[in-house]
Amino acid sequence: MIVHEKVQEQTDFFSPNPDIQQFLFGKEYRLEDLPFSKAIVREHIAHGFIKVKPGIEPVRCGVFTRFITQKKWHCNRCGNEDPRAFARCRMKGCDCVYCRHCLNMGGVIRSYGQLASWAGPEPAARIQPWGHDAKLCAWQGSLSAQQRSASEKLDQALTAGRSFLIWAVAGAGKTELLFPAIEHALLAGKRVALATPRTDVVKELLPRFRAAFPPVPISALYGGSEEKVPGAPLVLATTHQLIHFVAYFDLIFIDEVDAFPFHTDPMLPFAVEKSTRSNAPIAYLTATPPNNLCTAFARGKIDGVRIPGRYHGFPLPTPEFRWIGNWRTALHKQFLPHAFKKWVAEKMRAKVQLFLFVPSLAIVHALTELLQREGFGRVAGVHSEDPDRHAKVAYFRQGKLDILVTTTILERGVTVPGVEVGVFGADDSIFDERALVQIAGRVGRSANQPSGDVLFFHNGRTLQMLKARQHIEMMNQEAGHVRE
Amino acid sequence: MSENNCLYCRKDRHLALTFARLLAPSDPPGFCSECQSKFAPIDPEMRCLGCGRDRRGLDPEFCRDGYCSDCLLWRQSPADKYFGHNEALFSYNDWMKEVFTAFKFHGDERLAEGFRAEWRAVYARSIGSSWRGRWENFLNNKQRAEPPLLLPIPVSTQRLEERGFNQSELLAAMLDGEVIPALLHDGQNRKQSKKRKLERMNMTDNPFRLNPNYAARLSGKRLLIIDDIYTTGATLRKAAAVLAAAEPECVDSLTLIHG
Repeated sequence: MIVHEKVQEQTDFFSPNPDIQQFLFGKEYRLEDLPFSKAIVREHIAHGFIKVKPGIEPVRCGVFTRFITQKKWHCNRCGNEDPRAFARCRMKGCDCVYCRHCLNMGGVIRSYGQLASWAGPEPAARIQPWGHDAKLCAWQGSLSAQQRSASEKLDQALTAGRSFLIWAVAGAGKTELLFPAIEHALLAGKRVALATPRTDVVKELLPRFRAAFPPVPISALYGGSEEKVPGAPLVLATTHQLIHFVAYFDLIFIDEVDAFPFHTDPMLPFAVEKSTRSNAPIAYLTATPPNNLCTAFARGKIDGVRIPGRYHGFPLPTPEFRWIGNWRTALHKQFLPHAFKKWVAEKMRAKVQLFLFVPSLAIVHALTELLQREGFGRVAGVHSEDPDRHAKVAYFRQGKLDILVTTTILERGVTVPGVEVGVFGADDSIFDERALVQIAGRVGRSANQPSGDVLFFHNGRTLQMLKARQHIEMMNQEAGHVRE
Repeated sequence: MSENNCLYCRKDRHLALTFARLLAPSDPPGFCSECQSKFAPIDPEMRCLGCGRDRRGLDPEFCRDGYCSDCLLWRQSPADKYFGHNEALFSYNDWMKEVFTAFKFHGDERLAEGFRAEWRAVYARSIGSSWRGRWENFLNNKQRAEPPLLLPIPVSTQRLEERGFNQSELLAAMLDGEVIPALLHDGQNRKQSKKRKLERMNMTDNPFRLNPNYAARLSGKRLLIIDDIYTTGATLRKAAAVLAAAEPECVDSLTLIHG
């Protein structure tokens, strides 16, 4: 009893350090990474202001399961449970396990390591220099009727705390229709995150958001970012960066839910769930929803809206298929398939810029070299490991390059007016329905040049190619465009 | 991420189905052919006899009698008399830098497994226990030499706590020889990788100590210091100078990388 009173007394006396509170609130760090002295941190832990939990915990299972399977682990930082992604430490006399999955997300997390998060009260004043009816959004453009109704529905659903799906074709103007909802949330003092799968997209969005919300501090988080604003109410981040947050956001927008890492990596849904407060609404934005969202939407389990038409009112360009025989052999023997060569030559004569999508990095090199040798204007190849890729894309935008050969990294988010697209080797398994729909969506995004060629060069049509075409035709039909 | 996937890029390794694979209980982990091809292995025929550097990329005027100019410079230093020669497996290039950062600084210990086969092979060759070495011993009617004792370079306690592992110890543990923790680290000095060349080659502050309990076991034996990387050779020479107190027969070294 006496001991109890003593503890009580201490808690009354102890007031948390505001720096630690500001630093750690809503975040999660490895205990050894906290930039405060060990004594202070220990004191906060003793008084229950900082919560620590082991980095990696064994998954509890029954005796029988344990008997027939390997021991399982759960990484508390990234949610990884794949036994193959844990490695045992090889040091003598050490029996720890570490998670290989989130290694480069801020240091290795070991089974004896600990994660610290804030368990005390919220920092008192949320910085909110604007009044309740201030005008935050300075965006001047206007929304089309379709966009406006979607925007209103989104706003209503999110205000009511319901999740929402925006299923909009590529080039429908998704980003703009978020602005009213974001403005509302910010005015209500909520913390908002916009998560996208790729660093390039965050970089592209940041200036647009800065222009749209001049008074709001905006933080952009990606690996190596220098645009971090502590305590910013609006955060643009890659989905990976969300693993550093715990119960922080009141509202989260996930752009391109179906994009590469999200639907294959269980860490990302885990990160989204971890970073949001309980029952925080999630808004999904995509042109090609993954199956589970599609089903939920069709059954009415999630609110949503479909925007089948582009903001400029023209139909999506429908892909055409063109057979080019065995393109692998052709590349190997160093010649371009005839149909392909003819098309490129024709486009070069018409002074059209071309995106050429290819299945792999090796093919980027091979095809770029062949095109250069044939003398088709200025050709460059980009891929994910290319250090100059941003420069090359910038050159392409400025029109200094005629042809850009790329792997699927540029399938989303890159807008170049007047560009036309060829997919070389569209029958490769890397091009699934979603990827092909996204690629086709690169064409005709500006109102001045609303159409253009989308050609799939293949050696035998695949189901995915047919599905992609069907998807686009369906969307066009829904938007009221009559099939030719 | 099973053993069929590359340790580094985590893509499928496309292993061919062979009888050996069919009969083995599991595949050893490794890199995919694409990642593997980006390493720069050192040709043992063309290495510097002093530091193990690859002389193929070197201007011939910087080499004499199979030694590179750095080794010739070292020869003039008094620190060199305790140290024999070094052998290394790979040259340092941008790709190795990337993989090595993941291994040493991000702490992905498992990447070391990818080098196991080659690392063991270079060890066998350097101590003459490879098939070829044995055959030559047999032809020359020589006794097989006793294998050397392995001495991993230690790291300071603080760094060990930070990283959770000592990369040299891991590398030494993959070899067959007897590992002896006779070298101790005194702590408190800056990382070698944060110093400049001349600072590094300055031999005045030696962070290593000999563990007196093991001194007797080392005397008259061949010693092989194990480290992850040979940059200027200062670390290894410092360690060799410390070991000289135990009067070993010779002190050589084996490193994964020369850079």
